[in-house]
Amino acid sequence: MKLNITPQEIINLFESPQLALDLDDDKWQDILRVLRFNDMTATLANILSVNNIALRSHFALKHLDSSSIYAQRQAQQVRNESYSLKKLLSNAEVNPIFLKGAAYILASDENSHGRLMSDIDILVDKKCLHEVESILKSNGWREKRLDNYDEQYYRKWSHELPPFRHITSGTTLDIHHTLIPPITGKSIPIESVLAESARVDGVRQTLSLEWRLLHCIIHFFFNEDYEKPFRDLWDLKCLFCSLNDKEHLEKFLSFATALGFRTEAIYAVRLVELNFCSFKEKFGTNLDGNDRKLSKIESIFFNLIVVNMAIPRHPKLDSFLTKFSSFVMMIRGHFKKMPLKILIPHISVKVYRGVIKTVYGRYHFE
Amino acid sequence: MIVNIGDFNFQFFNLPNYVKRELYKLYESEHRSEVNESIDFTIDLETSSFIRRFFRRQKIFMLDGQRIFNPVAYDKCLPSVEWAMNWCIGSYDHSKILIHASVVEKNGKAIIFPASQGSGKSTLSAYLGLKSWNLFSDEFAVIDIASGFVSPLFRPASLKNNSIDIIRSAFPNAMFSCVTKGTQKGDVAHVKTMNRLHFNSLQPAKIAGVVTPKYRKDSEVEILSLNMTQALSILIRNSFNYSILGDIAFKKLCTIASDAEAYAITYSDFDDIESTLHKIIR
Repeated sequence: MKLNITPQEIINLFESPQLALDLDDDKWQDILRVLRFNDMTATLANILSVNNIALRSHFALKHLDSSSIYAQRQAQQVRNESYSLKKLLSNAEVNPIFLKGAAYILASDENSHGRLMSDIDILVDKKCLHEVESILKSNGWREKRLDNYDEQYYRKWSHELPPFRHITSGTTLDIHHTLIPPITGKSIPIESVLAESARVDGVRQTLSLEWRLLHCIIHFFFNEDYEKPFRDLWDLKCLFCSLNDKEHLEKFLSFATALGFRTEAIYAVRLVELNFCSFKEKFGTNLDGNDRKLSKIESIFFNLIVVNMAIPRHPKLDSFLTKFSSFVMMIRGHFKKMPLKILIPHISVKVYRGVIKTVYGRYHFE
Repeated sequence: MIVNIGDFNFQFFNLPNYVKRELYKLYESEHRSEVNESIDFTIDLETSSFIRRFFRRQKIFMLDGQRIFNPVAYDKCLPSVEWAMNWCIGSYDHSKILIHASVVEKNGKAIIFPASQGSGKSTLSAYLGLKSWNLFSDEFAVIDIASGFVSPLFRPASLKNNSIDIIRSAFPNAMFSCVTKGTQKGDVAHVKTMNRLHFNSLQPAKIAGVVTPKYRKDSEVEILSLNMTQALSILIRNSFNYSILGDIAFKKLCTIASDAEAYAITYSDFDDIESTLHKIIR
């Protein structure tokens, strides 16, 4: 049975939360299912509360409030854990820069409110990796066993440290030494990232707003997992809207272009512009401005694939086009992140496992 | 199929027919038309592959794209339906304090049995529920954060292994589900302790006692009185969402621990422990 809601209606709720006042419980039932799938229940709960929207639906309130309590506790944990990590690593004069979800929380970005995450990501200087590893290991952090084949494979060739898990708090920590795998052919001057990082509270550091936004764009377009793209879309919207004005936006686009991410940055701008009026209100529309032109192929790819993929998802909501688009993005992500000599054996294993799963069931390898 | 357990409505898709029949019996789901509330959790029992529909059939319990647990053999789905409901409540409801405990009530006063698995709390609570007590829940104490009162859930009592025969011989006329053999918790069956009409008459109750029961064969009743700190630590240790709720849960559990009588009771005879419990709700 398909859900009685459209992805656009969900997006509209995030932009115009007063629409929530007109919803009956039957509609809420389906909306909450979509939000739960996309890990966005607490985000909407926060938007409603910030905008003083007093819902009458006890049913919706029960679920929204619960999710909000959970997200607030997680945010507190992130603040606490990041403080301990900073203290721990500063003994060895290593300065961790917090990335993604943890960075949004520490910088109090709009998208951080109600945002759930599965791990804390830090960036450290490549020279310090071994030192970081040994400090963590002697302070309650253990390498996390990876059950998932894809993850194991990815780690093996990307030479990053495995994720760590703290033995008492259970927090998972992901350690990066770059913002993009070198195999993509792109590189990022990590020295300037580290130098430009922003001190958020006199103690901890996150990427600066521009780098947070660029990292978010990179993460979105150099990825192979497009199951829950709506949270990323909301991240992009909030970070773009944190830029001061049109001039700041143009400056950011030049910055992204100089680093070789022009196409991705324009995809991101267009995507946010298409979905959110508040972006247009703040920056005006300039979809076809000279400096934002895409090539014919890029335009087709954007309009056919990207637009249809980056929406709220749910197995009972997805159209054929959405499923197709996210499949294409997944394949594209693999090609972007792996060289052929790695990709071909990887695909062979995937095909083999696909056949076995068809026979023995989807979770045969778990 | 929709299952109402009081404060929550669950909807299940693709349940095996034998599970549906059992759930109709246990939850009187034919009266669903009286329940007009919305569905809190929709769980779809998917098949894991086309071939697995015919050969070594299994079901995957999915909640909005999340797999609740590992695939379950087709003929072992009934207890998993109960466990899936527990999982949904424990994972998503943070509007109440949830303690892993069974709860019995009489005369508006509730006693909760927070205890680890294998302590015999389920058997004891099923026994009491089938006698003159109201079994509020055999899995969760659902505690209102403002009032500190515990709410009833409309659930059957779950029984494992030997308890099934013990309760069946003590109450041969009670309504039992079929026994599911060889689950990860052994043989499992459920027994109904009240009908829906009776459930509808129940009200949230004040917690008068916190008791950790321990069944020991052939033992005399031993009652060890616990102080407030011990009671509080038992409540916290068995709470599902204490760490999520934080200080409000701490304050409320302190109040409960100081107001309620608390005991660790070792027993072998149900009637002996029942008379002790009667003293708590006197």
